[in-house]
Amino acid sequence: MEPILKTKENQQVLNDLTTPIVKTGRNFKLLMLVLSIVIVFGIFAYYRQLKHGLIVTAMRDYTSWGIYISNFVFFVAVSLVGSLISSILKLANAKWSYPLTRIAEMVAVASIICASIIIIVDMGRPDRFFYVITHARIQSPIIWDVIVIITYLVISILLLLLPLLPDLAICRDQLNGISQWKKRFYKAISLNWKGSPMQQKRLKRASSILEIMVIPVAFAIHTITSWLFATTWRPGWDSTNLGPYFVSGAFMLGAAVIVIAMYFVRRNFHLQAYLTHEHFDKMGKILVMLSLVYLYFNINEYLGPAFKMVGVEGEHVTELFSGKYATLYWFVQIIGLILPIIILLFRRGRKPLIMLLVSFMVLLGAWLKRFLIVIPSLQHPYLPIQDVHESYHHYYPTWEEWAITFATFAGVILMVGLMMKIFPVIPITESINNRSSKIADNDTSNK
Amino acid sequence: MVIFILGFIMEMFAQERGTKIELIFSDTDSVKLITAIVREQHPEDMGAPVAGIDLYFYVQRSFSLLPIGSVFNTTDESGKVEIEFPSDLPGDTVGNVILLVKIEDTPPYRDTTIQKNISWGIPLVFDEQENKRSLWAARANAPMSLILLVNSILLVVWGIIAYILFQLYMIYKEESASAKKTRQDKCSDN
Amino acid sequence: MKMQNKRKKSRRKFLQSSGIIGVSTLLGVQTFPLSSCSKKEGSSQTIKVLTPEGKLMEVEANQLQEVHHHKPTSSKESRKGIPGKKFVMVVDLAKCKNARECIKACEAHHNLPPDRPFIKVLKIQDNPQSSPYWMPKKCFQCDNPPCVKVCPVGATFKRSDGIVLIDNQLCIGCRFCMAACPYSARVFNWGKPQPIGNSKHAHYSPETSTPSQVGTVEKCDFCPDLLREGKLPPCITSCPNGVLYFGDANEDAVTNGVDTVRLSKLLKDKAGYRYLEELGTEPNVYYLPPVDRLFPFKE
Repeated sequence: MEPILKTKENQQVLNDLTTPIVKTGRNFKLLMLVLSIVIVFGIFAYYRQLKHGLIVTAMRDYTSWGIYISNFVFFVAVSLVGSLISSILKLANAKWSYPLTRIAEMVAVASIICASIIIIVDMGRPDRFFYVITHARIQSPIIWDVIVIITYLVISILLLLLPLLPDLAICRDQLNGISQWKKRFYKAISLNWKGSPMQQKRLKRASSILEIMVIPVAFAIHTITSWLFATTWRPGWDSTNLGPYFVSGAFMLGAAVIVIAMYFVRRNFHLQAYLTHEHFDKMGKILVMLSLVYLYFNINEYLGPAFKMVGVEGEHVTELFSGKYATLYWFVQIIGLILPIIILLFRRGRKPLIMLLVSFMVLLGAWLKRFLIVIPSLQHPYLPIQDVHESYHHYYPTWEEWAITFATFAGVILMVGLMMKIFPVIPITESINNRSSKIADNDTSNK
Repeated sequence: MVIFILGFIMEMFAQERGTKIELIFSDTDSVKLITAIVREQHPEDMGAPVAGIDLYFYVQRSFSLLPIGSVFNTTDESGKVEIEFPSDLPGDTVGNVILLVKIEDTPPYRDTTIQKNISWGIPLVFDEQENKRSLWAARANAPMSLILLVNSILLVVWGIIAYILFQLYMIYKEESASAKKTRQDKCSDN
Repeated sequence: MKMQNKRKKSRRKFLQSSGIIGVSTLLGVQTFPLSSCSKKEGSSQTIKVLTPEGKLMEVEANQLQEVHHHKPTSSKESRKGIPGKKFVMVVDLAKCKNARECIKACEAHHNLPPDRPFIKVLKIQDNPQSSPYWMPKKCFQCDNPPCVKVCPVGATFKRSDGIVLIDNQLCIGCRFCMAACPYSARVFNWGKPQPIGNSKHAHYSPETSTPSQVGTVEKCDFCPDLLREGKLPPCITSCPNGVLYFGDANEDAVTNGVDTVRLSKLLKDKAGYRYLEELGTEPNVYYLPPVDRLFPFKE
């Protein structure tokens, strides 16, 4: 391990990639401060919810799930990005994707943690959370979800940690001018990594098993999340298409999230040499491919009900197409899906800044899409909504709900940011191994 | 042919006249008949039959009395009225039902109720649904296939995770052991 | 003749109810025979009551409450159900005129705030040509209950007597059951529940559903605490038009408090149906179609 660091160029790589760990800029500190304030505000909103009950939300007996649940689905979807980048692309032998693996895993771990938090926030009795373990009924899809979320969290952490080991050893051995606790942390977590052939062999074996196993688990986590809806009789949820529909939407969202993360990492940590235009171009191609798959499932999801117009199912579809939710629905479909596909089909559309913009469109569309999946369905029960207080007829989230939702977004960014201050955001060892070819590529693309 | 004869002697009150209802049960070729004979109460002899009086026949149910027989069951000149007991009426677990025969609101005759346990009901067979394995049962009664499926998936997935953790442990262990060993070697060299 | 028959029936009903009271006094349950008085809504009405010391007192009728000397059924016992019973309800849509007495009686019995009733009376119009009708709707106590299937902790459960209950000491408030119920039968304690009305509501049992707890689900429970005592749920007895029938399907009899009929015959003769049969939930609440109505539809 150490000999390869001896060349000047490799020393340069090491410096480039560990700078974010050693030095922290003012902007970064400012960002962390702002995020912390948002989180504290969310905690205050949650304190109010704990004190008064879920009455502080806009949820009522008919719209009994609100943006907490749609946000939960959103973050579960984001977490699938880990398996997409570090497993599917790797197994597809897409060598260019290696600088993205760590970002993807960090985002995956952070968003799965936030998804777990928000599902607890949604509970009427968070004090009884452990009943889902002590009184678990294996028949309930919620229990399946709990099991698969825990499993996926563990696998995601392992998937982040395993490829990190050699880099952690480098941090432990090479970094100077870092605080004492960080040194101790690296020593503890690098598991005596020396890069001996035996260790290399074991690491390789564990990694390849993990990379394969994460795929079914990732599919399971979002499919089971879709079953929370598909196992009911609600219009819009009562669909056999829901599993693949959710999974494909999640992969599309995941790719967009990676592009956004990639853009800011590249700019703020000055890693233009490692995250090149080529990466954006390739991610753009992946994003357009995933969007097309999602478009396909979207058509499947709506064509049948819209063609048949059966009872409440028909009312629900009409509400989406031309009713109360039409603006939102067409915004999601056009801005969040059709337009990104068109833009990304062109080479010029896959430049970093445009990619960033398109990814934000996809991100916003994806969040609103989950709102449209959860809320209008609940507002179309089989029996008419009558005989109830006026507030039961509609759903406009309260400030508490928005504060908690923004806090979860802040939480994900904060967690990813802090992880980037501890772990090298781009794999050092792999960068060195791929250095010569990469630099050559970069030179040509910059010209 | 089975015949039960029952006599009920009622006390006489000042103005209202007491009656005596005699019930005869017959069960021929699964046609179950109840014959009631109403007579005026008399201390010594049989008493004269009461004609043209309405009798009400009921079967006791949990919350109320279920009327059986016709809408009006009026006695004939010999004080007799006959009703058919429904052949498909459920009873308790052994088929017992409580039969009530009443005279109500028929002055000058006093309101009278007689009650009799008869075994003409369909024995009740109920299944204890709570013990069945199903998706809606308690957790102890989850479907076997589901339990096996979930547990085997869990076993495989967490088995693999355990294996990976074991590999990590070996990565940690081997090197610390070899480090110790090299240190020892150095010491022994000196 | 008809009039006379009716009179007889009401007399019969009185006899029955006094019979039940007689039985419960024998069992050591102290009750006041107020079920008939409480229906009249005069607040100035008074009633004489004998105290345990032997004093005769006069009290305002609407201030009186039954005293329960039973311990409420324990959570564990509540899961079993009353042996050999299979409770069932029949709603005769031809008779309902949206009098809302069932809702009021239910609110009083379960100490519910007026904005979250267990019973709703919905205005239903099957198609543009047919006349609308009132449809009293409560929990259908399904035999294939979607709500129980999805509960992660078994807080809601199906009993051997067909009743679906909720143990609010176990409910985690995930509201999956509310999403799963195709009949929107469940209500949630979004905020703090309203204060306990009287001592009857103080001791919790899944069979009484009171007192409510914040962050937990509730619904119509068929009042199993009353069923155990051989009493009908208040919604049945309070209905002025005899819309609601209740009984034990194993006994093949249902009663609306006045008439008692055979369940199988009633459903056969009047073409009884279950709402949204095609969902396969197998409800234990039947409806009789709104034909030959007693009242014209009025908003």
